[in-house]
Amino acid sequence: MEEHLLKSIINNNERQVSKIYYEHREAFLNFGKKFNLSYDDLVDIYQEAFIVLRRYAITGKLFDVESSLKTYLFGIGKFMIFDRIKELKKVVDLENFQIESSVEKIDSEFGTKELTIEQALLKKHFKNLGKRCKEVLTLFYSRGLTIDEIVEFADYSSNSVVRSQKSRCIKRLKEMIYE
Amino acid sequence: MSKMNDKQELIDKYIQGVLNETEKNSFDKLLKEDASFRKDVTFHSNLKAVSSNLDEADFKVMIQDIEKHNSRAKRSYTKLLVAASIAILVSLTFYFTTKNTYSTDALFVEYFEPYRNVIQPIERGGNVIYDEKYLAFEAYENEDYDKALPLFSKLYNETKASYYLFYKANVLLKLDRAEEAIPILLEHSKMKDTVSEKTLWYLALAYLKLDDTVNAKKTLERSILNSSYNKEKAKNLLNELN
Repeated sequence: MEEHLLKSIINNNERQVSKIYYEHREAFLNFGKKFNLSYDDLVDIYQEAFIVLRRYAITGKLFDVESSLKTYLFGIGKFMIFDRIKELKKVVDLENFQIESSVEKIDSEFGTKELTIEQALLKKHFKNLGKRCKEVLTLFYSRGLTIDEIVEFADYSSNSVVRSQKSRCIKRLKEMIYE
Repeated sequence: MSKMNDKQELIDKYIQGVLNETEKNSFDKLLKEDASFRKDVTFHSNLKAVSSNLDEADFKVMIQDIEKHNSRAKRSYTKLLVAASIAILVSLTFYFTTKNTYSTDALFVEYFEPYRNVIQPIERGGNVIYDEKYLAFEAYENEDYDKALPLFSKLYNETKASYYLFYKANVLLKLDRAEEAIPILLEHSKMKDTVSEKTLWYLALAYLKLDDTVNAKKTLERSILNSSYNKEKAKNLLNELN
């Protein structure tokens, strides 16, 4: 799949994401109309599909997938539409509901997890970290960037600087918990 | 490379899902045998969940903004109205159902139980030496708190063994003297002994007894994050206070 597109989604690059978003938006809404869902429902689903796509992208699995971003995005969206129809108990002609064979069954709820109480408490402290700390931890823990990638992405001078910054931030976070 | 760095590197690779077969074996072995390693893995896994959660929330806001900026005109007004009325309904229900549903005193009674004696085994006969330590813990086990209290104070002053502070605080809580228990528990929380894992739980209860829910909640949060003692109870109690 298009690596540069995936990376801009992973890294919350607003300009790029906006471009991708509007490139496929109309096509998706037109496709969804067939299933008699409301405009708002379809917009919500389209957005949710982006979030799930991003989760998959972060795992690194999509870089090697052959289908295009659009196919995958629509694949996720279709399963979500299907779930929504079931939820609303609408009767639709499932003949229309062919999903291209090139797309494996996609778990449209992939990665949906509620935080545990420990995590919710840790989250409060995490939010109080400085900007630079939040950035380095987000890049490493959430987005799975390697130390070298972080050097490049966040303009550090070397990987040893990133390493020590990261361990300083973790130490700070642990201190906040114990305080 | 030092052992500690090795461990940190294993955890880093685990978090990013890039352990090779050999590393995975060392990782599993450490996870099984090394309690502090286990604790660290939990911490880093939680950190991953938290940072992913916040990062994704940012992304979500971002695409909502992207949608809003370009199609404001099409936004459905009815949906907003429905959302607003639901919000009002929810908050009203919340207001009426949660108002004064708990009294801190009742919660204290529900959750407080003096910590069991793990210091001095109490048996009759045999080679038992009836010294003050024995008498103090015997009184404690027999729920004769008025007798136990001065003994614990005296023993602490003489021996400086920190666990006496902990048991003294338990006695004070039992005797409805939470305001005296708090400074003692705070002092004990800075010390390390066989019962120190439990201090924060009792400190939270002491605050609860005094109706100081702010500090009770703070202390419960600290206890949940730092100690495995009564974790489930602490979570439940925190939920009831929230």
